Amino acid sequence: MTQEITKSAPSIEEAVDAALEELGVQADGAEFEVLEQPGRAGGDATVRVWVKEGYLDAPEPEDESEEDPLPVELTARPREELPELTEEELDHIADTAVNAIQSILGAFGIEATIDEYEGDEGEIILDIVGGELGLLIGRHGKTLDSLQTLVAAITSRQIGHRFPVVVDVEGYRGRRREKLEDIARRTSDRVSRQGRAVKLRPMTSYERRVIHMTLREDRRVVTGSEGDEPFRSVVVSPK
Amino acid sequence: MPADTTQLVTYLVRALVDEPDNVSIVEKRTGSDVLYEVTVASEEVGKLIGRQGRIVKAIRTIARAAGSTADSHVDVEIIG
Repeated sequence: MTQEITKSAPSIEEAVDAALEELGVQADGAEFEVLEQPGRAGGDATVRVWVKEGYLDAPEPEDESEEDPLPVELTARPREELPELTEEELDHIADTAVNAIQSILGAFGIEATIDEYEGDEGEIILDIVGGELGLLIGRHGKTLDSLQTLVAAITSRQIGHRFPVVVDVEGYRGRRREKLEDIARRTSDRVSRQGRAVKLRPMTSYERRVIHMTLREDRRVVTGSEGDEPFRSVVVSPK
Repeated sequence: MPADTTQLVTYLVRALVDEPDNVSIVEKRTGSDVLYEVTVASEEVGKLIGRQGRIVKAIRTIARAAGSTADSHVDVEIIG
C-alpha cells in the first residue's frame, strides 16, 4: 500500500479527499501538510498526505452521538414551492444574477464564463468557469459561500422577490457534495464492518450537514458531531 | 493584476441598498491595511448587516479575498 501521496485540486479539502481515497484510509488515519495554498495566484492547492504511523493500533475515537445543532438557515428552510414564472421572468432573474457576478469578477480583474443550469428543485445554478479560480472558492469554500450570499441578496433586491440562485465555481459545490456523500457511505460501511466509531476530518457546517443527511436513512449507524468550530467533526457510530 | 477592493466594496454596498446615491464610503489606509467606512441612512443599515451579520460578514470575506491579491488586509465597517 502506498504510504504517502501528493495531490493538487482547486481547494485543500478536495486535494486531501482525493489523496485519502487513493491511500485507502479515512481522515483519522492520515496526516497532511499543505505544500501550496490555493487561490493566491488563482492556482490549485497542493497537499502531501501520509498514513499515520501505527495507524492500525490507533485508539478508537470517542463515541459521541448527540444531535448536531444545524445552522438555523439550513434546518428552517422549508421546501417552499417556487412561484410559477415565465421563461422571460426566469431569464430576467438569471441575467440579474449574472450581472452581479460579472460586476464582482470585474473588480477582481477576473475574466470568466458563467454557465447557467436549472437545478433539481427549479433553482438557477450559475457556474463560474474559466480556470485559475481558486481565489473565489477560498478555504473550506468560505469565499464561495460569501459570493453566494451576496449575489442572492443583490438579485432578490433587484428583482423585488426571493428566488433561489446558486453560485458555483468550476462545479465545486456539485463535486464537493458528491464526494462528501461518497465519504459518508464508505465510512458507514467501515463502521458497520468494524463495529466501532469513526471520526471524520473537521468540516464546515454545510459539509457536516451533507454527511448527516446522507446517513439519516442508514439503519446501521448514527451520526453526531464533536469539537468546537472550526475543528468540529462528524462522528459516525454503530447503532 | 491585483483586484480593485475599492471598486468591489463600492459595487456591493450600492447594489444592496435602495438608495445607492446616499451611500458614502471613506477609505482609510494604514500601510498595507485598508479600512472602508461605509455610511448609509439608518433605515438601510440592516440591509448591509443582514440577519446575524451575514451580509456584512460576506462583504468582509470577499473584500479580504480581493485584498489578498495585493497583500493588503481589508476591513469593512458599516455606520448608520
